[in-house]
Amino acid sequence: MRARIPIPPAVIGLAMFLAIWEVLSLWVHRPILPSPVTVVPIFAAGIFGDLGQHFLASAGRVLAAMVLSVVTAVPIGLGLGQMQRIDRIFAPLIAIVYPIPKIVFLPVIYVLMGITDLSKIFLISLIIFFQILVVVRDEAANLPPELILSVRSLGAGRRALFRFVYLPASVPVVLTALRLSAGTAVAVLFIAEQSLTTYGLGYYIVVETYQVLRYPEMYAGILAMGLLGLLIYFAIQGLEARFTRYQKRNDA
Amino acid sequence: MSTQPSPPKIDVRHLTFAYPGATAVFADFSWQAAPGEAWAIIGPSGCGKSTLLYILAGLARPVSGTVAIDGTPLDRPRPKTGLVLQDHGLLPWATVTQNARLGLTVWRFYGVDDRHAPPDALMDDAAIDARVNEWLTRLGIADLRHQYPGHLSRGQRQRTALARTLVMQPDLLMLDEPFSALDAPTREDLQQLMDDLLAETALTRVIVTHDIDEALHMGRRILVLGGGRPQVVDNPCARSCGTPAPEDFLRQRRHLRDLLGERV
Repeated sequence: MRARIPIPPAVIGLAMFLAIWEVLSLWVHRPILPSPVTVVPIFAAGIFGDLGQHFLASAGRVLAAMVLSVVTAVPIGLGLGQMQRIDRIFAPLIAIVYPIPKIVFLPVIYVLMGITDLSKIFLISLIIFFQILVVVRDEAANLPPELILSVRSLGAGRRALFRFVYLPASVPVVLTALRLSAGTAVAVLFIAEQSLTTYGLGYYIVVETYQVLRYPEMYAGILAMGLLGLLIYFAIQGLEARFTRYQKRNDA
Repeated sequence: MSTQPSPPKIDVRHLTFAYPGATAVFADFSWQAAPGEAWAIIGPSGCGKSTLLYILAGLARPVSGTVAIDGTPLDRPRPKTGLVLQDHGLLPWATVTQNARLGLTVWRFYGVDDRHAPPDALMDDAAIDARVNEWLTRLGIADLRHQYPGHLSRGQRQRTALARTLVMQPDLLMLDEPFSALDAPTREDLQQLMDDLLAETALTRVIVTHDIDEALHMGRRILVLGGGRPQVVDNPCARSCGTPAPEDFLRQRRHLRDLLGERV
């Protein structure tokens, strides 16, 4: 059982993080590792200006990728989970493609789709797509037959089963898959944004600050990207807690 | 005796059924049940009791033969047939109330199309709420309305599943092992409720069980399934017909045991 992290541990965690950072920066004592005392004000000023725009660009891409992968992977996963004959045809392909780190397709996607935001969003959604596809398929395939038969006996056809059984059954696993792939999604975003764009935290961190030795600003960018990952993670965790209330106290 | 011959409630003719790759569960099986009768179907596990319920509910299709309810051939689940399975089949993510409402929610989802929902289906929220509450109260689970099935006892889950079916006002009620694994007071209570329903409404009831005593309690007619030909035993000493004389009950019990014994 996963409890929502209450405020105090998060505050303690943040304080420890900043303390270790400060100690390290004192110890290294070089421009490459500025103190949080320098970085945090830059971050605070930038997040409502230039840095904030990069943040929004990155956040927009990740969220678009999440939406794109959910709306495509959930129906396909539910379909495969219910139609075993078709699933058997595609299962080997999915088993092969699923573990491939999708970042290797970056050049292919750029060449085929062009250098637009869409190609970056597509690359990220490719990662999340397979994570969701697999868990939704398995969830749909493993629903108890008595459940399906009972609801069918109430008059439910394919559409009602989808709406009242398969869809709600897949919400918790979709959220878990999203949360677990959030880290990878942000990581791939970071790489994808390093080229062929002028907005996004990846661009800001690597091109605008790192390559021109603006280290304090670079760290502000890293903070922003870390914050993006954290916010996504905790937002999904909050949703999960809401949608899995019925699972609590089950073992009691 | 009625002068107007009405079609049997359940009319099974020359039914053959087999799961893919397995030997036939039913071969040329015929059986009729009249409206208002209380049936028990008994047999050893694996004899096809539950399969017969699935077929009668329109959830499984026979390989050959016909099944008609009220004279209408069955080709899909029928809105006025209520089915409660052994594992209840409650939605784990829905509360007791939401589960009890599910059938009416499904009907409303389709609208009155006379295919998924009957023409007299309840469609307005207040009326649905009232009927659901009425049944939750009558089944003694009104206090649990916001609980999830995972937090309920087996008996409470069974009551929820019954509520879900009864709010749809079925004229044919089929229950798969409804009282097994229930504590004695709960069992008594639910059996009494089933008998009250039979007396109050024009309900035909089919209960599947592996328990001889339960078949004798609940079935005024008993269908015995197993290896040989299916047999029908008339059982005037079911509880809905009053308290039977002990010797009658014991004689019937021996008779059923003999029938079942041949089939093991």
